[in-house]
Amino acid sequence: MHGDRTRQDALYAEAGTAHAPAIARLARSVEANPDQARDLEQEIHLALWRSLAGFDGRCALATWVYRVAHNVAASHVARGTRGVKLVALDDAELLAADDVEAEVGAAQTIARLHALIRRLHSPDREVILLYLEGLDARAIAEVTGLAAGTVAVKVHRIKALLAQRFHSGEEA
Amino acid sequence: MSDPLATLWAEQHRDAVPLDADALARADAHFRRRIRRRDAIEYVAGLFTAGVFVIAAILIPDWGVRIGCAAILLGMLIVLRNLWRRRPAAPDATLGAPSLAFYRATLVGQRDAVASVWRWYLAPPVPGMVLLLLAVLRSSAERMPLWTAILGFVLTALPVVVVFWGIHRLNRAAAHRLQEMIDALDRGEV
Repeated sequence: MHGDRTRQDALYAEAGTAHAPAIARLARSVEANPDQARDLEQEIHLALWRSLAGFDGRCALATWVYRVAHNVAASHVARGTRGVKLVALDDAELLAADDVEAEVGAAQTIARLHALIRRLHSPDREVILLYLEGLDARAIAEVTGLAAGTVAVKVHRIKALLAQRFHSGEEA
Repeated sequence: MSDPLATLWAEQHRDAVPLDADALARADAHFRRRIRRRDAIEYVAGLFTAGVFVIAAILIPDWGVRIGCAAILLGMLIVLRNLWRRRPAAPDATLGAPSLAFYRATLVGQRDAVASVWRWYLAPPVPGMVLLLLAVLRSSAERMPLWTAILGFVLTALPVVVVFWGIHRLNRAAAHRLQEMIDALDRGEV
């Protein structure tokens, strides 16, 4: 039992050190309220720590961390978005201009990105977040369970959407 | 990653660190205690309500009422047992599943819970309630005109029937909506 707890703590230390920033970003991207975002971040850490007691190494630790984090975040979103209209990546509403200025600061860009992510339904929300975290299509497919081809299509749409909304210069 | 947005994204919260494992263990223990306390409150509330029918059965010297109360008690015990058996399992085991599988399992769990709510939550006390109302009707008919007793019976039973029927219809609609979401997932419309 003590050995299990030691292994669990060691796995958590490794996972947390590598992915705490991504967890913080995930919590703040799906939850607009700062206090609730902090609570969600802690909730994800707690769920991750608990889940690692059953981690059997059948997938990479990073994949496990992203799965747990996104599943907790999705449950949080599901609790809070009853009645809120979420849309898909290819929804025309997402391309509609908001208060775009020619030049925006980094903070405003991130805020707009958060707002965009919060409007997406699952699993588009997970795919865009994992894309922003730098995961490739194969890794995103492993985390989400989507077919690799579906992920490739979604990533293509994400790039086009981001280029159009944020003028990032990335080729669609 | 060449997308400048992704670079900007990764600049956020770079200083975030994992939490202390002992603090997490304490938070976990606290969470489990809270769940146990919440469960206990629900069961005490159920037993308190059951106590009302026990007292009614003792105080009212009418065997029809007593049988009705006993049947309601039995129904309540069945509901409490069903609640215990259906209490949410620890989610830890499924949290490591791919997002889609986790989402589908969540939807299936919710669909099954609402689709069968009539059978495991609403139905068990119904025979007892019908028996109790019939016993009250028989007793009332001995002391007042039959039509007045029937009117009282209908006025008492109707709101209960309407509430039960409303809950049933709402849950059936919710189950249908959840099934549509599951079908869309299975068709790959995500």
